[in-house]
Amino acid sequence: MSSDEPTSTVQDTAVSSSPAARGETARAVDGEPPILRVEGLTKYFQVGGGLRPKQLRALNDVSFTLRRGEVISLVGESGSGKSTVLKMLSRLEQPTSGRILFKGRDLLAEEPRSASLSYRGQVQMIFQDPFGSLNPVHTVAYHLERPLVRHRKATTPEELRRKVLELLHTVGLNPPEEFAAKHPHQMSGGQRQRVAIARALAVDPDVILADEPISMLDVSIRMGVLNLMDELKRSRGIGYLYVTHDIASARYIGDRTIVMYAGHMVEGGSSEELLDSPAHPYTKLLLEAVPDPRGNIFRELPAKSGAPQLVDPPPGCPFAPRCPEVMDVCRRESPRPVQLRRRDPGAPERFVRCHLYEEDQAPPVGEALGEA
Amino acid sequence: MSSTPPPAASRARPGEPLLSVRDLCVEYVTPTGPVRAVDRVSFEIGRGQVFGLAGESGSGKSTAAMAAMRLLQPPAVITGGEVHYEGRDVLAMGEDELRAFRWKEIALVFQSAMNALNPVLTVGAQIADVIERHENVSSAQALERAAELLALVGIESSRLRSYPHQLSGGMRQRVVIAIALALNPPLLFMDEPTTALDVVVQKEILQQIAELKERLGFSILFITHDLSLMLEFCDTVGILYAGRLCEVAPAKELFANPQHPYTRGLMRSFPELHGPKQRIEGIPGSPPDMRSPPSGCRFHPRCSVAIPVCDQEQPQLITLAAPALARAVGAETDTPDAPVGQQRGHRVACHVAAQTAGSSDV
Repeated sequence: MSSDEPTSTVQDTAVSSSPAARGETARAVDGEPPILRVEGLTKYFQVGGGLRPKQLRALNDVSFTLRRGEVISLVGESGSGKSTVLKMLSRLEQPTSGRILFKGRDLLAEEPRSASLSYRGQVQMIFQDPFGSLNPVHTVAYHLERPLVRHRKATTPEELRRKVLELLHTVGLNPPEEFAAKHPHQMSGGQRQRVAIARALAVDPDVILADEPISMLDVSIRMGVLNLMDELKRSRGIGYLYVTHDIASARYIGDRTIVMYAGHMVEGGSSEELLDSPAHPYTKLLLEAVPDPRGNIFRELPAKSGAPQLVDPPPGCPFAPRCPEVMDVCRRESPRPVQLRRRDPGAPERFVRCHLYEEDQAPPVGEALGEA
Repeated sequence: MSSTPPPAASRARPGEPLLSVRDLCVEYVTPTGPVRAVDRVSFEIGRGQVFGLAGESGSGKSTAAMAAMRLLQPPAVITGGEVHYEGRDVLAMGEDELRAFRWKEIALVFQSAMNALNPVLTVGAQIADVIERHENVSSAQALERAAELLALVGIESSRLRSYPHQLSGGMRQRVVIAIALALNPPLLFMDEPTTALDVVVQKEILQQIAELKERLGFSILFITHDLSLMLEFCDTVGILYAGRLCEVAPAKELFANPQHPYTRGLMRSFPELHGPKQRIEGIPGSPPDMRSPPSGCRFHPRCSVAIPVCDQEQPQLITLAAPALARAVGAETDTPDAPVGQQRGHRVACHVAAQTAGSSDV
């Protein structure tokens, strides 16, 4: 890739020199190697054109490691770059720079143009809209047969049929014979999303990229879909990247949560610790803004809304213009990730990109929902 | 059932709800026969009150609200019930009367701000259009008023000349709110006004609506599927399931003391932000096909506490005994003197809840 890429501030990866990350390396050696590692992933779009083209910085230096049977939740508002990460990993978009290591293989070097069939057989995607992701003229069985045939998971018609029914049973669409014959319009949103999950499972993937899979579903059936994803994680060791704007569901299913703002990873760590003691002012703002049935609507937010400047951004922290705790340094220098002290030393590492914190500092306790 | 509108002086009749909906039924005419989308729904909205209708997709919340505004198009037909606005029979209004009634008395804020605005007209022109159409003013006066309205919702008046695509989603939604407020209507009907927006923007807009409501004194019929948001924003909440109201209560009371198994299920469908991680199940099954709704209580096939009578008899909305718990929990509510129509306490339509909680005389 280009030689003038930003120096990779490696965080949360086994090659980092930070003490916490070294601990991770040790674990990775005696345990299993990570399935997916992303290093310094960056995506710039050219906008404006003409004589003075501008750069839209959609994604800046994103790095993380996904292990077998782990769920990482990517949380952020629209424009935070969370979906762009998924598009890179599903190889629908080419990154500007950075590396994607899949089971240790450098994917962009080995398959520079588009993903191989083998990669697509191991990394699957679930989309937000269960109404748009299934073909209305085909039956459920057709949707499941396609990947099974394409990826040679079934050789005889009998085997194909058996696998289709198995998949439907796995995702809780019973009786499977009945659902196999249905068309998408004959099913509810939740059932369609289960079909989408079954389709992803058909190729027996190691990683599932889930882009807001429950946001269009009715509240009473959302948890059923998340629980299904969780069961598949446990029974099959599937690793998930779960992209959402709903921070409560991120905590529910995510072993780790990473908060994104303006294409930067601003904070990350174990989901529980992150939400109990959010460190970054942006994370605090997000938590305050979540509707709270116990709350008072007039309770003031710590900061105002506002879209970050993605095109030719100014130097410094992207959140500085809105940050209630902004300092001079924030407008000059982009903060580097620092490791925070964890409540539970066995928990995944905590990092934050904010000038307020120093290496190994303890995060603030319970500031988010004051009275909680 | 008088077709002549009462004089303006009668507008502020104390003690009377602003909008009263009684036993409203709406059916969709389909090739396979009528489908009853709203079944005997009754609610009232007092002056300055926020009443919320919550429910899943297909529960009839939007249909019920649209029916109350007479905005339904065929194949949806109002087949029964009454709608009174300040004592006027809305269902009996003629076309001319309705045109004056809508926007002047009840204004709408739709879900998707992106589609609600005309992309080829400036924001100022779209606000001024509403004013010119309903009031006898010059274009210049209308534009002046449009600028005031923009300021009211927190947008600089220089934005009058902006086109919708030049504004962020949150700003567009504020413009839509400004248009709704253009004629200073006593009742605002908001259908998922913040659903497509980020949480921070959502909170800011709702805070602004709440402030304007305090200042201008309008009432709101609020519709959303987001129960947390609903409980935070509304004074009183009605829960709809498959076209029927299954529970109505003041928001804080409903949150502290839900009675209907469906409401309880909904409350358990939200993961917590704090505390120990617990597995939550949501509600098993899915909402019924309205072409052939279940007999008796429509929730019984998904209900974990159903008893034999539940699939036989339709439960009636009954008022529960004085909500003792509400006193304790409701300490922080800011509705000390809710007007008549909001003082109906806690009503629930459930055979099991009726047995265990004990009903009182209405």
